[in-house]
Amino acid sequence: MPAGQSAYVGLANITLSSSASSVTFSSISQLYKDLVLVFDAVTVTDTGNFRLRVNGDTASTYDSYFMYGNGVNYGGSNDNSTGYTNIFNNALALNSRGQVTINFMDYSTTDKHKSMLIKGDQAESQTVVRTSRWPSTSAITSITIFNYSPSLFGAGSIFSLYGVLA
Amino acid sequence: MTMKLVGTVYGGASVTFSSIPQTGTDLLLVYSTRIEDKTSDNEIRLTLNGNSSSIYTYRTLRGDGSNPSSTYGSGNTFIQSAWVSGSSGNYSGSSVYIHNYTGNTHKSLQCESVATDNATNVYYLWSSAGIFANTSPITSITLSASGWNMGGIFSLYTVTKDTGGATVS
Repeated sequence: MPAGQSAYVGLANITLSSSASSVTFSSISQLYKDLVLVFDAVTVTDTGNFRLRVNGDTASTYDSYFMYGNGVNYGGSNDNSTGYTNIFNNALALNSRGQVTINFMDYSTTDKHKSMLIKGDQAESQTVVRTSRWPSTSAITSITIFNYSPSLFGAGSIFSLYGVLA
Repeated sequence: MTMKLVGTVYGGASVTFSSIPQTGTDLLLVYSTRIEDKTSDNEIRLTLNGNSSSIYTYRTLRGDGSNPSSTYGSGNTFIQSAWVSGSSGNYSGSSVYIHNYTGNTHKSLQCESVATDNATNVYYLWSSAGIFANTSPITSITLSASGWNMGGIFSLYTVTKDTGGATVS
């Protein structure tokens, strides 16, 4: 990497002007080592839980382990879901906002399953740290974030994707 | 440049980043610190815009390998952003991510930290979520350790989003 070049590069962004059920980053550049996805989203229509899917894969089981604390209760568990990984532990209240940061390590490689480090925070309800695995050696070319139906992401929700150079 | 250094400050009774440029999207604060005049570990308090009103809310998760805990503060005068080592320990690594700091909504923070001793132990793994219930843009950030002195180094960055490139459905 040439001297003076930023190692942290903005790849894509969207701020919702109206409600939506999902946001997808597709045709992701394969030039970087890692990806960082950051979003601050509001849940509308119903209580919700944010979920994530890679490369549109609705068939694989995403293995996931997490720890949570809600200010009174705390614990850890695993939830292995088919077709997505959860982000939070407890449902998010209607019209509340949640903040999420996800690191995708070595997303462009083709010799290993893909690991994600996920941090989900909502000061009114919980802090969650989670690790999840997409069981595929394919490079990640798209990422979809969606809300637990019938919940939607409300207007003003912001989603940003960054690439990290080696 | 997507990530730009705002400034670096060395420790003391408090650390403040002021006159934060309003040209970015988010803020990333990273710091390595320990409590210099106390042998045991301690909290790090964070306030924004010099505001010490009772408008902060936070929830924490802390693990030390045998005694996990979770706490919350509502209507608080600060956010508990980290738990760091005392002078008997190594410098603790911490980060704070502030979303949409120039926007006109309440400000949300994601915090994480690790505290270790000078041997082979990790004191704590720490995660917290915070909200500053004020819609003003963030122009300053202050960290303190409830009366103790912090050693170490603190660096603040702006993070600027790209434009376009996502599909909505």
